[in-house]
Amino acid sequence: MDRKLKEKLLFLLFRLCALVVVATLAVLVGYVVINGIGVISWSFLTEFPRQGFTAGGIFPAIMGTLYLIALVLVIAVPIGVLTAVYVSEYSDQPLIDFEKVRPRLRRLAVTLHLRKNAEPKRPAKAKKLRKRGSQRLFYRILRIVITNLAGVPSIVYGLLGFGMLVIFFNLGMSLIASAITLAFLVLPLVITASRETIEAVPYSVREASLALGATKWQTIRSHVLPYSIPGILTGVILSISRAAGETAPILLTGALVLKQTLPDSIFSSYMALPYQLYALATQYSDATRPMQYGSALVLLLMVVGLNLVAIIIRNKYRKKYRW
Amino acid sequence: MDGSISVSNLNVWFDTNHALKDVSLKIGKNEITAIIGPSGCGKSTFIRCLNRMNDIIPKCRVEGTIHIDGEDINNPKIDVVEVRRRIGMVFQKPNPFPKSIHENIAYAPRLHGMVESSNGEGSEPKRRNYTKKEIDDLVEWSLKRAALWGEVKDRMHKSAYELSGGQQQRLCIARALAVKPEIMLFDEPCSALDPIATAKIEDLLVDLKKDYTVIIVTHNMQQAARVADKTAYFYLGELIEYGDTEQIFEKPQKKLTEQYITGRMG
Repeated sequence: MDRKLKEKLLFLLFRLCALVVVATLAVLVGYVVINGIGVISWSFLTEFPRQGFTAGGIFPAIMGTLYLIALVLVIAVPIGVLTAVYVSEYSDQPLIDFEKVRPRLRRLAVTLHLRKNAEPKRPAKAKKLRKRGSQRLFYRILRIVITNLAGVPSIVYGLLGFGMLVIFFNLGMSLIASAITLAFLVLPLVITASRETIEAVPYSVREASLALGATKWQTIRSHVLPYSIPGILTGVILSISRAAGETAPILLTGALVLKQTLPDSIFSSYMALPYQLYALATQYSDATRPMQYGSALVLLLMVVGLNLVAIIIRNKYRKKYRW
Repeated sequence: MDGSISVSNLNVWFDTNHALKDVSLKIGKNEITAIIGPSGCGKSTFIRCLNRMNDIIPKCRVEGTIHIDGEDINNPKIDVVEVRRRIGMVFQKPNPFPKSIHENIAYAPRLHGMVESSNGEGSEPKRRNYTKKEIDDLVEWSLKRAALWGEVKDRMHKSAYELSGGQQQRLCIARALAVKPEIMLFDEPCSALDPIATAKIEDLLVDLKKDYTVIIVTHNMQQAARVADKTAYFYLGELIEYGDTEQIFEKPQKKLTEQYITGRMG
């Protein structure tokens, strides 16, 4: 084949592929907007559903989803960011320093009359090299765990939440059980985003701070973490979208199809947009169609809106800390 | 508190690489010592031992003793943070924090607090938080000491990144001076700067000598000849020759030193 023709055909192919991606989103959003826009009104946003979801609004589901997002962020962001700090700043040190713990355990064993004396049974060998190796192994395992956590299907998280939180810890079908379950789900996103941004803080900045006599933690608190806010917010953005949209984990841990009151504490059950949408689409009559489109559009707008807020804050910090 | 340094039998390994071999030398207070030598000869490693910055490099092992004011800083009981507070360091590339000029300098003093009273020799002085006025005064003092005050006094709250390279480096010097160190270490402070900025830093070094012990690592032999009282020549991790700058440059005792200085090697 002619080389120029080949070039043109290939270029056309690439362009078509990219177009498919854009078209998918356009059709999806367009369809939801066209069908949903007419449904949305003030009363749709502020009223409880009536007459089997054919009248009234979706207020409790909106509130439930907002509560859920807030709780998930409150749980997942601190744990995720601190884990990221550990992985990127401290993981050259082992999580548990057995060299230090062992003598204490031996002394404990003596006081409990399990052993006669606190001396080690075998003399310690030169362990320096092996210890280093095991530290790196732990670090590798930690990274693999984090990556694999991201790959676990959401229904599995749902079952975990149901079995462990709802039943074993007796939290019941509740906001908190769902929030903890979703927090597990978004943790890898927060950790990965935070870790990347923490590791992108230049070494020279850390050096400067340490050389001024700051401790490692002071350096992390006053420099590494503030400069990492933009990347941490990327993790937050991804988390909001996941927490707002996931259905499987929440239907197992606390979301109800219909509840005529707002949740009054973190231990009560609640309504949420994605689950309401799923229930209406599969279990109710066609008469609920307008509310389905309305819910989908509201969910979409909510995620976009919250993400916009996070993006604006992120850009503000990006401008503030530049190198 | 005088800032004399005495190093004996200092050895440093990076994993299996023997980076410094049996280095011993004494550095007197209030003089400028230049460390010269070809790349990879252990110059930076040497001065990073003096404020224990090598601690943060994994797989780095330091043996030997370094006495500063008679105190062994490699003693495991010593507070590393206190060592680094007493010994300021300026790096090869200017590394200001991405914050305002004022914030850059105020950061470390706020961390350490103000010395209220010293309870005699050896014991930890009492410290308290700075007032806002004291911080402002200290920032001004440091910037004046680093010959930068005139250029930045009207934009103290602008980002340090808006300064030129030479100004940023002087800001880093001011930042180090603000914690009131006794010794100042400079790790090739001018290698990223143009000749005019370099000349300003050199003037500053000579001026700082009155109050501080200054050690400077440099690739630029003219610079060593211009500013230093004493010069130490390192080659392949060993201290080859150490003496008065004039003597090193005019009558080197060792052949290796002569070869390096006359440009036949390195």
